[in-house]
Amino acid sequence: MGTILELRDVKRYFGIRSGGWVGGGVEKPLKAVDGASFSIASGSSFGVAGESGSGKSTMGKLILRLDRPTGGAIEFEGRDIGKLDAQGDAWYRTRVQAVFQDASGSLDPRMRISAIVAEPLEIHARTGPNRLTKIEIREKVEDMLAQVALPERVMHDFPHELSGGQKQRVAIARAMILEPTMLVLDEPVSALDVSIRAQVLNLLSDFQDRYGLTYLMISHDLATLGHVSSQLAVMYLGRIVEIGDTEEIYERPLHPYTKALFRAMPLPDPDRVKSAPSLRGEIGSALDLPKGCRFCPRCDEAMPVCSAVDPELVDVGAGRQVACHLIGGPQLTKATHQRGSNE
Amino acid sequence: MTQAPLLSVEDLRTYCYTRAGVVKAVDGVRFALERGDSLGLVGESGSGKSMTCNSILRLLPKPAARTVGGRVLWDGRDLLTLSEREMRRVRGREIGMILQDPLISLNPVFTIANQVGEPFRLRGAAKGRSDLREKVLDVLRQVHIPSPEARLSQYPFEFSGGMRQRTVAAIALAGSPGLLIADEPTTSLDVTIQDQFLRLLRELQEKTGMALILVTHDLGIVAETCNKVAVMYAGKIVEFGDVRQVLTSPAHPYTEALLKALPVPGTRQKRLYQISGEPPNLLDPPAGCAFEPRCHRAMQACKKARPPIKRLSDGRQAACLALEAGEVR
Repeated sequence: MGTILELRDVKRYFGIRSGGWVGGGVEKPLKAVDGASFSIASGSSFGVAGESGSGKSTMGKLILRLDRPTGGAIEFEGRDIGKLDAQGDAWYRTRVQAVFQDASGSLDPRMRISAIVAEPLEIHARTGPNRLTKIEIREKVEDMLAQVALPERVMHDFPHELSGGQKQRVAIARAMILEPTMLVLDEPVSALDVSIRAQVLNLLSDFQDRYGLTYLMISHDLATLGHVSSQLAVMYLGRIVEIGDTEEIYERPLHPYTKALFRAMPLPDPDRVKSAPSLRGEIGSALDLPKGCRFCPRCDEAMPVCSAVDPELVDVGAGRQVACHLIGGPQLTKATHQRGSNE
Repeated sequence: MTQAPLLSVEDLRTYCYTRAGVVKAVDGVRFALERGDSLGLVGESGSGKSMTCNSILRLLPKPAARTVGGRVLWDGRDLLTLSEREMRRVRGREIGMILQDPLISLNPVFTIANQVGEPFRLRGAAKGRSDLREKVLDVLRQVHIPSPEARLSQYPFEFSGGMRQRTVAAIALAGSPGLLIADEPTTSLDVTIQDQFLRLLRELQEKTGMALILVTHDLGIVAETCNKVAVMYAGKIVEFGDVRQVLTSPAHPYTEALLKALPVPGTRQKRLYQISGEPPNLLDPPAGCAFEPRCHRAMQACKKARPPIKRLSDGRQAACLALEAGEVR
């Protein structure tokens, strides 16, 4: 399996003016994504976890080319997507598609379901050598709706006539109609009820098996990510703090933030004893980053060095990288922390 | 029973009258709570969890929804028969409420001190301004708002999501209620902030002995916070009992399916257990058991009769024909 997507030191800073009147003030950089590097293997599922404000959705937008990075490069199938011309842009949009959390917000309320699902084809396949006729488009739409298990009669419905789960199926059908190679899924099941959530996750897993799709799933829900993804990146204030094999991270989280996320995750197990509170305080501001490690103000295991030096992501073996002074870094490794004192 | 329970909801029925027909949003709900109990009310959207809470506090949208039957016994009185004036004394003072979105519960143009102080002022519980200030600071400290003195003159927009929700909790606690109803209080919060808030609820309960009704769709939250759980489906409670019993050996097929449909962290299964279909249209509910069309244990009889809720031998209650009276699987 080759690499389908690679991020190299991707940054997205927003200039935020503060203080002063209109046009005045000092511009400060808001570091939404601050140096993200990883690669995704073709046909695999990559999960991105983090709280609101961690920069995970901004990263999704950068990958979708809905926003441009201010630094670094994103390569898809060997091409730098920052340097695509109009033709390249059209190509990219047929290869990479998106499904977002709120299906009601991403479906035009005045379009019928058949038109919504057909629109990508209308844009990309009405011209050029592979042009499709109206009848062919219709057949494809019918076939796709069948694949996402929607009854044929919904074709003529408007989005408001469908339930939340059905709307998300329509969004998936629209994303899949161009036969992309990769889907960016930003909280695709967070708004759905438990019983519907399982249906949609199973549907996504069927598509992956059938077409060898690559998924990038962004979510705050570690249980869902743990089910879907084989690789996982945990983000905090614009930085990836831990990245590696999902199962291994679940088994032995190394970064104190990852550990805290697992402790905070509610599990339907009445016998689980909750020890210490998962985390004090709240996620900081990306405008006013703490000196040193960004997680330091909330970290129980912080050392003096943590508030002075920003830790780099270091390789800890088995394909795992962690950005924490407790694990490698300037201080010597404390063996006790390697054993994962979680649970 | 020697003593009447703190809250006893009996055969509560709340219907919504829509142009398309009558929706039985709450259809014969029955449960009882003791002092210090915390009940998790779980179910999918539209199952009637919020309507049950709003019926108890008589905060239904008028005139669309009406409670057409049942009793809500609280402190020896039936809340459904109180006058609006008497009811206003119950809300906030005897029964507090926290809603899902703290931004809607807080008024954007009044300071935190003003809003947290309101319940004290309305009750005339504070003697003078400095006493009021002390009382406000006291409840803000109870909900762990950092440096509350500096926060008094701030407005809700200056607070983070977690702090806003704690402020709402402070307002609800200002009346020292005997029961707190929290309707999805952590849905808009991040996991770590959610964890902090749920800990706060447990701590406050331990300190004051108040009872809690926690509405949620997350069985994990129930496992961590509650000692009793009521699972709702299509306006009815289908299973009610001790959290440990219900979550470790569910009796009702719906509870069982809900638990099985959850992804188990750390174990990558290929497929999740999936409940087929969608919840019934309450305008036109099935004649028999509402869960029958999606149920893997459905029998012929399930199509005909609505199963009554029965007490099983281990004390819990479940509404399913597949369960013989008294039998626990």
